[in-house]
Formats: sequence, structure tokens, C-alpha cells
Amino acid sequence: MRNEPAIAAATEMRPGRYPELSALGMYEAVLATFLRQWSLDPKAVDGFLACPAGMASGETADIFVHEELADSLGLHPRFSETVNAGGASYAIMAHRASWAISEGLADAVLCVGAGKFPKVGAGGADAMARMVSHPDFEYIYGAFIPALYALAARRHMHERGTTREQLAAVAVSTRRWALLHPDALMRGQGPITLEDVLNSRPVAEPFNLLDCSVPCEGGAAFLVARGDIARRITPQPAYLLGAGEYHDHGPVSAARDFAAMGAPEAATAAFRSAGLVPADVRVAEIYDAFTINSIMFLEATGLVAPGEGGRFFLEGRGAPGGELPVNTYGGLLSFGHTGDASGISMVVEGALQVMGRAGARQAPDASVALVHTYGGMMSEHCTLLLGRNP
Amino acid sequence: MKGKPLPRVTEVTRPYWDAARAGRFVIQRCGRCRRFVHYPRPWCPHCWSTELDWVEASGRGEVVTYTAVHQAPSPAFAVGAPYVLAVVRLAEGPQMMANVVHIQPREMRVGLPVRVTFEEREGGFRVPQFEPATG
Ligand SMILES: [Zn+2]
Repeated sequence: MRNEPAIAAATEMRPGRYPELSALGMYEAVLATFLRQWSLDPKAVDGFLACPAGMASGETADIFVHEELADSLGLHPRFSETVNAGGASYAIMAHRASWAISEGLADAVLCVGAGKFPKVGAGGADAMARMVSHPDFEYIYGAFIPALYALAARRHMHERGTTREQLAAVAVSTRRWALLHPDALMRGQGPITLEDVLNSRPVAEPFNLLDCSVPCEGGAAFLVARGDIARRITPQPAYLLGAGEYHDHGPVSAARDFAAMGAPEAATAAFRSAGLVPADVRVAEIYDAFTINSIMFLEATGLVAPGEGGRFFLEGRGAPGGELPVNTYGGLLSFGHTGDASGISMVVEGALQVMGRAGARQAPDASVALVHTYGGMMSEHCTLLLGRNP
Repeated sequence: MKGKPLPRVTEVTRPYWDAARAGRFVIQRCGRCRRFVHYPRPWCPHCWSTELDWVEASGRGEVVTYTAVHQAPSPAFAVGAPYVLAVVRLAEGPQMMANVVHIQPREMRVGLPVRVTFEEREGGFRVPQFEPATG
């Protein structure tokens, strides 16, 4: 990419429950956390991207949040909007920001997301089901989020031989990473075993409770800047080497390939734009609402062969000490799923790994990181490739 | 307790739900490229013709994928849990979501041949469902 756009700063707020904060209040808390960590000059920031505030929790769907927050921050951007592609929003923001910088539309773009996940009891599951499924042709059949992902898992198991035990291995591997992250929600719960996952209560076959990500609240912010500006902020920024998107289906029942969804198309475009191949990737951060996602998207992005993803996790190859660290922050499975903001966690972690700022969970070689995110029911995909050298 | 949810009926989807009330399973067919279309919409996604006809479908299909839901999203569905949620590929080509009924979850499999049946809901609604096709 021209002008070497890079992620120059990134901070995620500690995931948890923040009942005292409104949707906009969550944004303020995220930005305050970010500003405390990075001393930035507001005059240097001329781009601003945000996501609709309060959507997943049903509190509101504020699509003017970019105006409110830019004003509050004293910014007068020449590039700004509220972006929404569900969980893919934030990788897409990074893509849009790098593109705007390459085209000279902005020099430094601040990207932010904050979210709340509704409580699954108390009608939350039903409200979410109505939002993510076709209201007239899916919702009426008792569709809801874990069940819709279970459809992908079952098809993957059928086509590629993935086993129930291999799904559990993803949860075990991801928890091991969470134990190394001071802010991970499930850190205090300690390690889990295959048996723990297999014996947790059934939700929607093949998933049990420990195959599901952990609902919580939180958010993050990151700054994408022109290379020279980025290097003034931090000695080792995370260069955006490539990006690819693909918007596959609306309702999940319309998916054409349940074992891959639209991920291969997005990843192929990202590798092409970066001039890289999957073997160049040293760390992978993959959106993991459920255990199947890490397996299917590791395969779909070409990092492992089709049908090898399950065995990869069962053999511990994605865990700490493994050949290809996967979801080093603990994933949505064990770090926490922050509702509207969930898709920012893997972008932030990919950047921190490449920047060498991941602390105890730092991968030994993070020269190239792949970030794969999707929005909706695995509907729209965005893959990023981040690296140490432009 | 509130019953299972009902679809909203729109100008586009009315023929589908009216037919279901009468125990008939109809889907759209493009008047130009002759391909079948489901869920209902005002245009053909293959050629963008806006001339779509409603035709009687075979009601036959096979299971593309499925799950047995143990933790239902609402009390109306909890009564029947575990229930089978599936994606069925119709013999005419399009896929649709439905429950597979009259089967135990452990007997479900990908590729299972199924045929349409109807489930009564409130207000005289009948919702297309599938059951194992025998013979
Ligand atoms: Zn047509």
C-alpha cells in the first residue's frame, strides 16, 4: 500500500459489565482509556471512524456517533463517518482508513468501537435472534445465534471430518492464551480441559456452553496513520500490508458454503494486495464467536489445509508455544465478546503483537499477523495483514 | 404464554402465506430465466427481472445442515426443546430454514430426504415445516 499506512496506537479497555455507562458513555470510557495511554496531538488527527452506539444491547442505534464524538474530542476531520458491518466493522475501518491515507484524504484516522452485549437471559437471546435472523423466514423457526453457528459446525463436521473433541480443543487452546492476558474476562476461571467443554451443558448441538463466547461490555480504539507520522508515535508501528473484503449472504440459510462462508474470498484478496502467501503469517487473530470459527476460518484463510483445522487445535499447534499462535488475547471465547465492539479486539491484538507490545502473551515471531473478522451470521468478511516492515 | 412467533405478511410474501393456509407450498419462479427463487422478493436475484410467478413446489428436499437446539431463545420454543433447526435444499434449488419434525434429533443426518408439512400457529397461520420423506 502507498504511504505505508500503519496502526500507530491501539488500546482496549478492560472487558466487564459497566451498568452505570450508557452507549455513548461506553465510548467516552474507551476513548479516555486510549488517550491516557497514548499522548497524541489532536491537531495531528484528521480522520475519525466510529460504529453505531448501542445497537446490540437494543438501547439505541446512534448512527451520528461520529459527529458527537469528533466534536467532543475537538476534532474537525476531513474524513469521518459511522461505519457498520457488524463484527467486520473494525477491520473494514482499518481498511478504509489506510485507503483514505493512501489517497491523501487523511493523514491519521482515529477508529473507535464500544459495545454492550445484552444479557442472554431476560429476553436478550430472543431480541438478538430477531436482529440476526430473517424475521419472517428464519426467526419463526426458533433460530437464534448459537443455533445458526451450529449449522456451520455441523456442515463442517460432515464435509471435513471435524470432531466434537476438536471443537473443544479450540476452547482449551484459547483459554490458555487468556491466562496470559491481565484483562481477559475468564482469566480468573483458570485453565479448562477437553472434558470441561464436553461436560458443559448443551446449547445447540454440537455446541455446549464452553463452545460459546462470553458476553460482556467493552471496546477499543486504534489510530491508523501515514507511515512517517506513525513512526513518530511509536518505533514499531503495525503496517497495513493488505486487506480484503467479501460480503457473502444475508440470512444464513442463503449461505452457499456453510463450511467456509465468504472467508476465502476476503483472505485471497488480502494476500493478493499484500503480495504475501499464507506461509508468511506468524500469528493469527480470528473472530471466534464459537469454537467452530477458529477452525473454519484458519482453513478458509489458507493458514491450514481444509479439514486440518480441528487437528491443528487438538495437537496444540495454535496454543502458547505452538507453531502458529491463534487468538493470543484469549479470543471472544475467553477474553470476552463485547457485543457491538467484538470485532475490534482481534484488530487491536494483531496490532499489539506486530508492535511487540503484547506482554506475557507476545508471540516469539510476530513479523506478519493475519486478522480475520466477519459481521452478521458469518455474512460479511474482512481480512487484514499486518506486518513489521512496510 | 406467548405462542411461537408469526411472520409479518407483506405484499410480496402474501401469496406464500395464503397458500400455506390452504395447505399448499408455493415458491417464486422467474419469468425470464426460469430459475426458482426463495425467500420471496420483488425481483429475480439471478437476472434482475421483476416478473416472478408463484408456482406449486414439489415440497421435496434434503437436509444441508441441522442442529438440535437445547437452550431455546424464548419460552414458546422451550416447550419443544430439543428441537431440530435445519437448512433444507428444495428439489427446485433454493435453500430454506425450517424445523424438521416427527424425528428424534439423534436420527438426523446431513442429506436426509425430507418433505413439506405444515404447523398450525395462532391466527390460522400455517407455517411450512419438513418431516422425513419415506418411500
Ligand atoms: Zn431470472
